[in-house]
Amino acid sequence: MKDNGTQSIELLLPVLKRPTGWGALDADAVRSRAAQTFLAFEASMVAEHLATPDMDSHNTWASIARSPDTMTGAGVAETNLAQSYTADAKSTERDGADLSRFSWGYRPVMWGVLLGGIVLAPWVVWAPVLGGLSFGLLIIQAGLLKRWLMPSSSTEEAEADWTSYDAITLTTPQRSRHGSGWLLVAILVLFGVQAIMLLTTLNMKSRESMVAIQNLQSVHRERTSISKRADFKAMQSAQERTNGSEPSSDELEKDVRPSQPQPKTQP
Amino acid sequence: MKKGARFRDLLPPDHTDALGSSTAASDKDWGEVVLSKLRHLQSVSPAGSRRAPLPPSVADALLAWAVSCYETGVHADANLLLLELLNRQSASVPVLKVQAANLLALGDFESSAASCEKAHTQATDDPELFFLWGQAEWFAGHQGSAQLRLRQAITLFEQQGVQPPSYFWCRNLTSASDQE
Repeated sequence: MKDNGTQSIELLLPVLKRPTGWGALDADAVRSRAAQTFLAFEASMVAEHLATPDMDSHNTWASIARSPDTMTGAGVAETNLAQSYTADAKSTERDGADLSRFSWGYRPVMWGVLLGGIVLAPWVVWAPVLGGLSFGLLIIQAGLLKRWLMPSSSTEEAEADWTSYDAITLTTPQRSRHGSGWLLVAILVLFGVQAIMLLTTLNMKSRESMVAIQNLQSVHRERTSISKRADFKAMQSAQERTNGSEPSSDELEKDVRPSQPQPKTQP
Repeated sequence: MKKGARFRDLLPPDHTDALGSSTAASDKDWGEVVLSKLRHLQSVSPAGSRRAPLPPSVADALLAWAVSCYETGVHADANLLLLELLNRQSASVPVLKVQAANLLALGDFESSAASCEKAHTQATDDPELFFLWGQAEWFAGHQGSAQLRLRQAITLFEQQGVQPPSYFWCRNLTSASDQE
């Protein structure tokens, strides 16, 4: 109600009509569908203006491209929308070229990052890890860690040591009491791991070599048996030729068995 | 983005989509995306600079969205959408009427009267428009002009045989002002 001097008047807002086809939807559906429709249209316009930049509206579309939503997932979604929209609109050749140019700009960068990561992984990943471990071992070994953790006591110890050692001793690095022990444990662990890896490798190689040797031996055995059979047949045929008799089939069958060779007949 | 959002989305929805399951179920709040984009555009582009015109289907979608915002009481969003519509295309009577009603709801009575005046150049026999105009003029403090518009509205309503719910309000207002 509004008091307008003489009388109290209520503001009456009219009931508005939606455009045709939109009356049956609820508010959320109208919002979502209308927003997607608008985004699809804008994405198609962006694609067209990327192909043929117009100086009049170039600034507007540049501002669309710079808007925060274009940089986030919404921009990607609009790009996808543009792809589907323009594909369905059958403006194939020009729009297809534009969209491929639009998306091809990022592919070399992605491939470059991937391949560079693969190539540089040993230096970028493993070298810092191993270097850090080595540096840590060195720090532990030199006793610096203990000195950092307990600066007052270590200073006192250093002062005390300074007075008790001579110049030659002071030039050698000071080791803490547990530094050599940690180093020894680390070296032993490393040696253990290396030994396990070496044994595993040798075991696998020996298995492979054994299999290979067995294969070679079987092949050699087959070859020798075949050559023996051939020699035996040649000798038998020569002997039969000299005797003037044909070999029987039983004898031929027996001849093919190298494990039970028939005794040779004396000439 | 799902593949279903294609050219068919530019067409007005039919009644089979009344539940809105195809689009309203998406997780992304596309409405907020569009509204933030429109806010950004209207902040960077000077007022009066025209952008690419909208096809009728997209204009209908934005108008339906604006009416929906008006119905649900989100008048600021409706105003944003209507400004974008009027910036993209020539002002039509339905858009101007929605803008006038929305500005009336926002309390901007002078702008509402201006919108009604613009719409009146295109539609001279719309009683609802005169009724809106009369209210806007009345609350803007222009009682004389308001009585004139409201009388025109009553006359047009009577000529068309329509008795709107606001008829008695108009009658009481004009009779009260006559008695004064």
